[in-house]
Amino acid sequence: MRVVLLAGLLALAPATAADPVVALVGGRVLPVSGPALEKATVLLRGGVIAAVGADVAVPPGARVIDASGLTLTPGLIDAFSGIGLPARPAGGPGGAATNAPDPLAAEADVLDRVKLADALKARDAGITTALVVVPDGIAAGRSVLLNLAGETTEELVWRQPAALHLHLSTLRRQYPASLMGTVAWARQALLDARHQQALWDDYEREPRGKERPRFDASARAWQDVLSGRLPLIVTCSRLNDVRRALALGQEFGVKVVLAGVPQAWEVADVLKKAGRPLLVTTNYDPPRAAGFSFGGGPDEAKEKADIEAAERNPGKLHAAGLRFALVSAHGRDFAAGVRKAIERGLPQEAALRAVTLGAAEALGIADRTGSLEAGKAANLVAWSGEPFAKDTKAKLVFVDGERFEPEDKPAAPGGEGRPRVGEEVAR
Amino acid sequence: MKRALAALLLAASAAPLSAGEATLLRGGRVVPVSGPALEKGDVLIVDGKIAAIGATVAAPPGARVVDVAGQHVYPGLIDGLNTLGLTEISSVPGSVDVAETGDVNPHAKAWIAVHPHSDLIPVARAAGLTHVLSAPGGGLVSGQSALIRLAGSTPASLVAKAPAAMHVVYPSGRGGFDLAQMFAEPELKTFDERQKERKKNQDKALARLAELLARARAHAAAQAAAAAGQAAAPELDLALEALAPAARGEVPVVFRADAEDDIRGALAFAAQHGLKPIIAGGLEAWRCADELLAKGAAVLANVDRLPRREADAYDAAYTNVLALHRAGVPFAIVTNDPSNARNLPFEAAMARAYGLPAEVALRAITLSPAEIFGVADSLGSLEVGKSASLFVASGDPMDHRTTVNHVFVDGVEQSLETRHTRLYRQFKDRP
Amino acid sequence: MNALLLSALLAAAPAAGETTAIVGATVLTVSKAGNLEKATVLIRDGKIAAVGADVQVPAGAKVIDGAGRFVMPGIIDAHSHAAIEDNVNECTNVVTAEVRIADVIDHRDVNLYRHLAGGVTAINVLHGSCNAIGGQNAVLKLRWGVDDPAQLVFAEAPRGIKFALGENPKRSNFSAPGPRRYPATRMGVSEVIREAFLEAKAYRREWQEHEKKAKAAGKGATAPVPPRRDLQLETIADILDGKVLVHAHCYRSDEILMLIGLAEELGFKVRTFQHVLEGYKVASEIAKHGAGASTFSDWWAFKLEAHDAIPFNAAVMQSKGVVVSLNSDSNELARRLYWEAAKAVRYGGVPEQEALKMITWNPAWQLGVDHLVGSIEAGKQADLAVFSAHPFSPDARVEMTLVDGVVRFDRAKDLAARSAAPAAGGAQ
Repeated sequence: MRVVLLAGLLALAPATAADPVVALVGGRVLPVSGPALEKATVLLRGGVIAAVGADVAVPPGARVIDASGLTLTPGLIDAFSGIGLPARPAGGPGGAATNAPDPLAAEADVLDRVKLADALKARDAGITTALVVVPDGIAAGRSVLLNLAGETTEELVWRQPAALHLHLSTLRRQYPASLMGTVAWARQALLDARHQQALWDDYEREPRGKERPRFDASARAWQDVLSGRLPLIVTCSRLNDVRRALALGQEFGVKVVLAGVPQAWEVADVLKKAGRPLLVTTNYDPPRAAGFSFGGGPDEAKEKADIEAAERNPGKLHAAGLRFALVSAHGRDFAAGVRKAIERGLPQEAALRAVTLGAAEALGIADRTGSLEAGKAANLVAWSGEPFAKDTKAKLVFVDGERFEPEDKPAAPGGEGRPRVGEEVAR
Repeated sequence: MKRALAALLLAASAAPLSAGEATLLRGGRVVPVSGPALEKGDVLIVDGKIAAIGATVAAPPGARVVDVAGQHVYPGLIDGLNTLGLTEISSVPGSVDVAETGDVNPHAKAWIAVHPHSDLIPVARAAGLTHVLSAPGGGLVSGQSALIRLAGSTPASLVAKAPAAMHVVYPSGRGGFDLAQMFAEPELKTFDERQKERKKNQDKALARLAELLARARAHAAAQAAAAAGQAAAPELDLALEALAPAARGEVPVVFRADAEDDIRGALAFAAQHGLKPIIAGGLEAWRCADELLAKGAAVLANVDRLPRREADAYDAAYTNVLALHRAGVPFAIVTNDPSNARNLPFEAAMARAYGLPAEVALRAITLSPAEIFGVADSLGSLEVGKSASLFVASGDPMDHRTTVNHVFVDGVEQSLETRHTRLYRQFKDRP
Repeated sequence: MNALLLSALLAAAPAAGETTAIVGATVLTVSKAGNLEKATVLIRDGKIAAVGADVQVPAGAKVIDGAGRFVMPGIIDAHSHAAIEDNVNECTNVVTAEVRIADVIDHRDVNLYRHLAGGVTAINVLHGSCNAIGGQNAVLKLRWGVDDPAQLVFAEAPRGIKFALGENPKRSNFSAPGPRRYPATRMGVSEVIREAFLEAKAYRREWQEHEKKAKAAGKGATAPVPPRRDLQLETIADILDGKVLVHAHCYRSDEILMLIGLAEELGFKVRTFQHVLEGYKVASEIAKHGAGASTFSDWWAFKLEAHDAIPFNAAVMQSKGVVVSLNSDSNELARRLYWEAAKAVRYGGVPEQEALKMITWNPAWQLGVDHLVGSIEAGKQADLAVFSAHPFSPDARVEMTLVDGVVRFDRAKDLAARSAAPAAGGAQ
């Protein structure tokens, strides 16, 4: 009640140059946190959503955008992405054994590798927020959470570092080159972090008469996980990786977030019990090296069945009553991945939730984004049609209230005469 | 020095125990394979051939008489696919002559390099094997095989039939096991990309093979024209020259193929180019038995293998030949294992345990391979006039507990000594 | 696995107190009782309650008709790499005692089902032979159908570890790019093991001293910081303390003697020599050390160090008092270990029961579970294979396999399932 009142007051205050207000009117609004609203208004004041509703009054001085015919949703959150990282042919986490520059440097920051221009391109697909994860290596760095508006990469940062990552993958010709090696390596890394912590605690308590302990940047990074300052996101590409990740978390008292999990529905009961956030892949067929076998080549029937099972995974997880984020997991086309999940049984509204509010919940940022609600960040997308449908385009994207117009790439040559949508109208 | 070494090798090779002109095996159970068993009978061997089989056969004067009462006489076992003689220790390249460099080697001929003094040959022989198809492998066109006798001290004396077949690895486009690839940076592709690449590789290789066959035929025609004085001789090309008989359908082409689509592909390719196909491996032959029957292709099948696909019945490889038998497709059971060709009867036993009639299983390691390679007029069964290549055993050769007591190759009894029995003797009583 | 087939073939867990009886079968007990004709095996709560010709079947028991069939103890494969997810080897280091097969078990590896169809009920899943000291193995019971890989683990089996000698740790038959890994000779392999154990001894001392200090200091601010836990050295120290069984891959007789010497020098025991193809040359020394030997029946000539391998190996070692098992090291061969055992009869004339022991009681002893499995005796776990004929006969086929009294493979059920899914093949 108070929120509504506050929102109402905010909404009504006149817009000024210092306090710009944008009103998107007449569109179909899918706030995700509540039921769909036909012909409703979304009011953005600065970088924050001021009001959402069918009968929201537009304050004087507001820039009004006619959104009729458009569908408004929260900005999409890709909670496990390679946005802004150099394109790679790799198979996404777990899919391939490709070594990152330093595949075991847990302390490396992904932020240092993000290219601004590349990152901002993701907006064209309606993505406003992304967790950027290095796909290679085993523990190849701490991810960063970006909101995709700004002039420098630093300006994009929403949370830095955002999480520590462990890919249950393997390296080539370098330890660990087997899954069992990876598990053993992670176990030892956590033990070492604990040991380093004990040495430093002991030293700081009484430095006299003691040698200065060695500083270990990697151990420091892992300590953030042990202390709960950072989540540990474990990338799981095999069914049993889920249990592996949970067991590791339990062994060290670390609350893990599970990413990838293309067969998670098969252990839905385990996941329900564990109650850990899930970042579920839409990269169903990550590129991988051709397999071999001694008898007539790889089992293609099984490969195909596994891909199809991964496509059905989101729908089955939903049916099992689990909440989760759908993520690109470095796939080439996030929207296509989400669309495939819908085709394979995930209800449309559950899909939208999984890439907005569900993703925000999984990342622990649902208090600031993920839905169209007054008080949340002004991240939203106006779509030409049903979100994720094959021909639907993001016509307008707002990030922190800043408006972007994705290029309509397949437009007629020259593109000059093309009709503008969402044209501003004077009122 | 070289001569000394050669002399040493010669001395090391076991001399035949008896080269007598006539031998009578008396009083055994005779299992001819080509017909019903004779519960108690005699087999007379004269000049390397079976001279008589009957309830009682009189021993000619001077004949050696071997009492085999209570024992069983079988035709020598024939392993229809192996590299015996071409390999000694598979991990030691210096001892392996299976795969020539490059992938088109129709002129690689097994009978040139079969090593008569291989330690592996007596081991196979002591289990009742008398003949083996020794075939080159690898590449696209691997080379030509020979049916070899497991007795003799020169490559020429080993040869029973050469060429027996031309060997081709059907290009599936699928990755086989390649050690070099294990260390290479992998190319990462999606499933569809991998399928497309596979098809591309396969089409390329098949086009190449088709072109080779056409050129081989043209080369042979040009040679014939030259011989008739109608044209100048074509440029020397040993590969094309060697391929021509197979290209004309005069020598069978053994296609190595396991997956269903590869088998079907090989059959279609053979039909298109007028080849006489035999399928080797044939792990999924049961999936296309009708097609094999229609194309008249025989299958050389291992039995002791895992199913190709995860979803296949666990005994799919065990019952593969049963499906072929029921469909009427000719087949031989093979080991394709040079060091353990001796397990040939046990591969047959596994097919038998999973439903193949016992007599068919026995035929699949005797008469059937002889028929497939066109030597059934002299090998594969105990019949008067045929080669006296046979063995005497304490019982059913498919039973592991059976012992083999005599082996004859072309009438000559062979030593059952092996590298193994020598080492056994040397060490069994070491304190 | 095909979903339809899979769901059809999963076994249900037994209800507590459930009683099953296999009646009228020839029971090859592989114990002092020998072979029993027309006998009954009574199973209660997953254990063998009674076995004999005069065993009464209680009312309400589930009866399996054993007429014409042969029941033997479930086959145990002492050398397997089944059910390992990803790489079998952690090949990058020459000592990887810290890695554990138990971390990477794939309970849905279809090979487990295929093993059951060959009468196998337990397997010793070993790390590969890339390293002088490899990873820790896992002994599994083939409880096909459980949904958690941890449920496959043979909980009572002691821990174990893989060692490897000879060509494989030398990397003789591979040429990976980059500098050659140490060691490249058998001399180096020996020194790697010696060094690892000496380091482990130092590590153990460091902890012992710490524990002394910690005891003296008591709890509180003055308590000393414990030394760094090193999972690799800790495992090797556990070998010294007899908590971890050593399974050593080897071929040549000299390297077998080398490891025996090293073990006696450093103070540990080798539980089994694996492959041990020249074991027949040094069988007395193996017996004297108290190690078992787990070998191939007849593999040879696949590499130089296997050139002196002979199929009489098992028989000779057995005759010198070595506890011998026959293993598969192969998902394919594992399915016909009963015929591998028959080869011990063929080569060297091992009596049939002793040959059967080589795939049952002997591997059980080698894995430290002979008091629980490996023979058909009252009180033991009901791991059983039911054959259509004597397991050595050429007509032998496994009809049913039970693990802890639960039917985990039933050929009749498999045949029924495949007629519902004909694409799977397998003639009826």
